[in-house]
Amino acid sequence: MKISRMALRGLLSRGWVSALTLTSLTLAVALPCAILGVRQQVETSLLQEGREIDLVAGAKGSPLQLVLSTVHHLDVPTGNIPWRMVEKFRKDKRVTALLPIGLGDNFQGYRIVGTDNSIQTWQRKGDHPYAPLESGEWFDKAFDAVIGSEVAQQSGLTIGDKFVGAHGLVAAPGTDHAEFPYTVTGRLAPTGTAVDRLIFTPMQSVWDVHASEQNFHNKLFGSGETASNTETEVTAIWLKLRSPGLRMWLREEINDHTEIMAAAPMDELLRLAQGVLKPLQEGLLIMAAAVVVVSALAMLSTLLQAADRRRRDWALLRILGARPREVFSLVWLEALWLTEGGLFLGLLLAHGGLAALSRSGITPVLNGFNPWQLAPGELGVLLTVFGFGALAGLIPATIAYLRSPLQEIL
Amino acid sequence: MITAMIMEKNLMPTTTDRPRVVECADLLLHPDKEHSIRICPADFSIHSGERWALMGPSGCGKTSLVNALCGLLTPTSGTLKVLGQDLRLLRAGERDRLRGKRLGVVHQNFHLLHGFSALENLLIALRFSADETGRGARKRATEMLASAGLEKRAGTRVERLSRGEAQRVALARALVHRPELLLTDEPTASLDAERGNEMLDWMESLRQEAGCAWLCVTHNPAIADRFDQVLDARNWSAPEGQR
Repeated sequence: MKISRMALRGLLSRGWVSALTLTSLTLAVALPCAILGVRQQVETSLLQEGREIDLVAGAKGSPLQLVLSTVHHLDVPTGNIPWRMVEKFRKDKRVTALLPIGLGDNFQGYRIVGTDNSIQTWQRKGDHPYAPLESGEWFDKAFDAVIGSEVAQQSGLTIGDKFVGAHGLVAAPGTDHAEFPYTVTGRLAPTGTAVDRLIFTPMQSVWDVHASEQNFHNKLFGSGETASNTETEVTAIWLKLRSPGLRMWLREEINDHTEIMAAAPMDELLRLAQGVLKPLQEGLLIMAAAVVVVSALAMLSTLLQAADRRRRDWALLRILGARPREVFSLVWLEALWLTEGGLFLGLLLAHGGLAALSRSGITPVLNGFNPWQLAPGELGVLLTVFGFGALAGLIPATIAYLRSPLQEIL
Repeated sequence: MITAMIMEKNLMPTTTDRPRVVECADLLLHPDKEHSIRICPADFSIHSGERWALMGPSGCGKTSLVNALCGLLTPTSGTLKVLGQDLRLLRAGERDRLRGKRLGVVHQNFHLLHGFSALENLLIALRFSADETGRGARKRATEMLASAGLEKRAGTRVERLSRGEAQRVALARALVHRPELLLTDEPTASLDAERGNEMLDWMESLRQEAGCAWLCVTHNPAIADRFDQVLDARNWSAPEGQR
């Protein structure tokens, strides 16, 4: 019987004690790894999304809210701005590309986004298409719809299917626009971004639905104004500029001299990350570090208690001819087995938990996230826990090494 | 002069021409911090293949001699050589290796490894005695257990065995690596007379197969009668200072 197998059998023979130590180590690994995994995804999802957009123009209000609502589709918009602003920016030579965004309706909670054909050529940082078409065609006329991969998967919609939107950005009963059915013309490839949860349609669809609502509202409350008299609106305009240096200049110009507001997504999200997310994550990581230390101490305590009970076993091994260094190896190997088991199970628990969270759709930030990818810093956690386990195991191993077998058997 | 009473039974031809496996004389031992004991005041030796019974009342130092011979108790004075090695000069690890590889020891309490099966107890012994870990070791251990009538209990954890079964496992473990010197301390104490005799017959057959010398501590004169020679320890049992 090899020493490694003896160590494993020794652990199994002390089932409950080994299981409790293993659980403690598993949690010590899982907690910080899960936090690091979430942090990476939050950074990827929030900071990477929209990096290609120099400015977002929208209604005055909170700049962060404007970015979160129209780039990440996580918040409610600050309001609408006139369509003529789109025309104005099209004429601005500092603007190389723009994309209008019109929000207001949803289908089963998935946002219906009005836009124009520029979306087909809109590129993310690194020249990846913003909304890659997987099958079907892009919209051609009002009430054509191209659906994101998650929308297709969850709703079961396929190309040619019809559906009706509902008023607002969240699903609510009794708000359907039954008279304006959409037809699915295309389906997007998965991107792991907010695009997967969106339905794109021409701006005209949003205006038509909005006009109908406005007419109904005016009739109900007796206003003489009709939708044809009201100015068409858009929720936000994404702008790409000729040079990043123009970003601050144009933002100041828009904010100071127009009725709308401009926000730079990168600036807003960095502010969010530095001001809110980073302290939160650091707090969680400090807690996780405390868990690692407590688990290491618990493991040490368990090993030392086990050492007291196991002196007889070590003495018997010496009587059978095991040299002190072999008993040392055996005892240390048991601690290493436990530590390695804890590392493996901890990683499995952390990433399995993230996978389950990602699949559940509870938080959109984790949608489309690869939960099995190691986050930066996780290797450090694994090495730290391994180091703690190896050091904790050295103490009983040294006791076993120094102990005379006769003391235990007489 | 105090002498150990050695009763030659002349059951074997003279053995002085065989190599000595045990040589000891005037050993001062310290089994614990408070007590010391002097044993074997006269030269005592066991030659290869000899079978000795060691008799004497409780507390006379029989077990201490066994512990000294297997290198667990190191004398502070006297002569103690086992299989040609001066145990007083060996380091702890070297004594462990000698004990594991060339000696078979059965203590009164069997000293089986709890949490492991009967078969695993033999496999662990083979790991340290013969560096055998493969199929050969498993085959040898299984054969030993079968010869002890324990083939159906091989996979049972030793703490679930009856006292008699545990004793047989301990004996099988002591002989599994074919030692050159077998040391047993009351090896049949847990067995009735009939079962004890069967066990001694079995041990004797295995001992003959291995060709090893045997020193057996016993209180039972009937068991001592089965051995070629008997060492009576009564006279060297007095604690130091009272003698």
